[in-house]
Amino acid sequence: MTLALVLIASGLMLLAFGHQAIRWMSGSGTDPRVTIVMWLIALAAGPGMLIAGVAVLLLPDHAGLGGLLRSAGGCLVHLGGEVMPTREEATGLAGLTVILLLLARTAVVAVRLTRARRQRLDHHRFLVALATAPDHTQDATVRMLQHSRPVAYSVGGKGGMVVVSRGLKEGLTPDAFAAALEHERAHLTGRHHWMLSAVDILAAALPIAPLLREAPKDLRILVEYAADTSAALRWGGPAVRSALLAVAGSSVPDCALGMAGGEIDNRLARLETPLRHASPIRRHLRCSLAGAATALTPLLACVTIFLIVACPTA
Amino acid sequence: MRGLGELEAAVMDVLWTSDQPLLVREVLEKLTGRKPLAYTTVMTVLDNLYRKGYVQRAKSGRAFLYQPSVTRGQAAADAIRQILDETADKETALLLLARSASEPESRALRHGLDRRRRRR
Repeated sequence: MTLALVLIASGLMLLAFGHQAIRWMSGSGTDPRVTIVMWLIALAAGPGMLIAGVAVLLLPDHAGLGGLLRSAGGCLVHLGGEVMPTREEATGLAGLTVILLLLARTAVVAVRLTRARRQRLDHHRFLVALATAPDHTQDATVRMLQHSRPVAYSVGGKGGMVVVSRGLKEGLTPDAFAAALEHERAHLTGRHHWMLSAVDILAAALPIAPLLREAPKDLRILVEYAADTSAALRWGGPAVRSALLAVAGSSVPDCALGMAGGEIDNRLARLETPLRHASPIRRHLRCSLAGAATALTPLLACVTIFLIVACPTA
Repeated sequence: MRGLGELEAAVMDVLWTSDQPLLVREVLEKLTGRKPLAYTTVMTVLDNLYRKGYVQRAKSGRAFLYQPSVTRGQAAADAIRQILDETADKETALLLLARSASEPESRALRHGLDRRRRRR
């Protein structure tokens, strides 16, 4: 019972306050990729802990999978009215019902949003295919719009592509244009479109949970910071700044991600300080530590609270 | 072939390069260099294009004959315009809308924003 309570309380704590904790833990100097990992861990761990807590409640004597199956069999007996469930089992069954209802709602919203997004994406890709030809001076995923307005964005999904305009290419130095391309490629290689679609679904399905509700807004900006970082590490901060200034004042199609994706002032300011290359091992270590801290902090907090409350006073 | 959008563009390409209206089967035969497609897939794509106004069709016996209703140049120009509309500065557009709103429209906007703020 104690383990179940700790897991459920930790899950609820993450869902209610996780966004504030992540914002507090990641200051302006934090690598955006680390903050993204913290968000993803929180988004998985919050609901995950709730589900695990309910599963533990349903496990007689916490007896593993076999126990869970026995418990499921026991539920059928209870439903038949032969034996009254224990208080623990009854709470577990109520929790399981709520979780199944929430999962069903998430599935319905996911189907609706994914279908709508795919339609918008298909139509946009059709327009891009009509309006452009592959730019053979670049790689095959780059499409060049023959227009003077500076445009740079990327479209995700199967066979992702980068769309840039002639105006952007002509208005920038080769390094700055390459930085713009690198920024958009970072969205594709980082699977940012997919990630944002998933958090949009969670936010639309369960807006009651502040963590899920706030995730799309924060992650939309964070992926722009992360793409800026990738571009700056390869082409230098000044090149990315030039590209950002060129696209500032334009917008990005709903189904796409792009350089003009928001907080341009802050991003320009951040690019003024040179970025340091971190070795892959160091970066992975940082991401792992941040992820572990995100998931373990609420657990430790709940265990501490439980010990303080339950500890008999001398 | 990556998705429906590219397939629609490829079908338009077939229709533009043909000097006469085509049946679904003929479009299917001319879609070369790609993995084989089902007849019904091409029929669905042509139906989409008809609904979007890019092709016109005429009955020929029990089937339809399809031909483009816009030239390649018109379609490209229209596509660029639609993409640029989507990449227009939405903040500026909203500011212009707010500045040009009449007093009753401004009140309605204010009312809507207040309601949204209260919901948060």
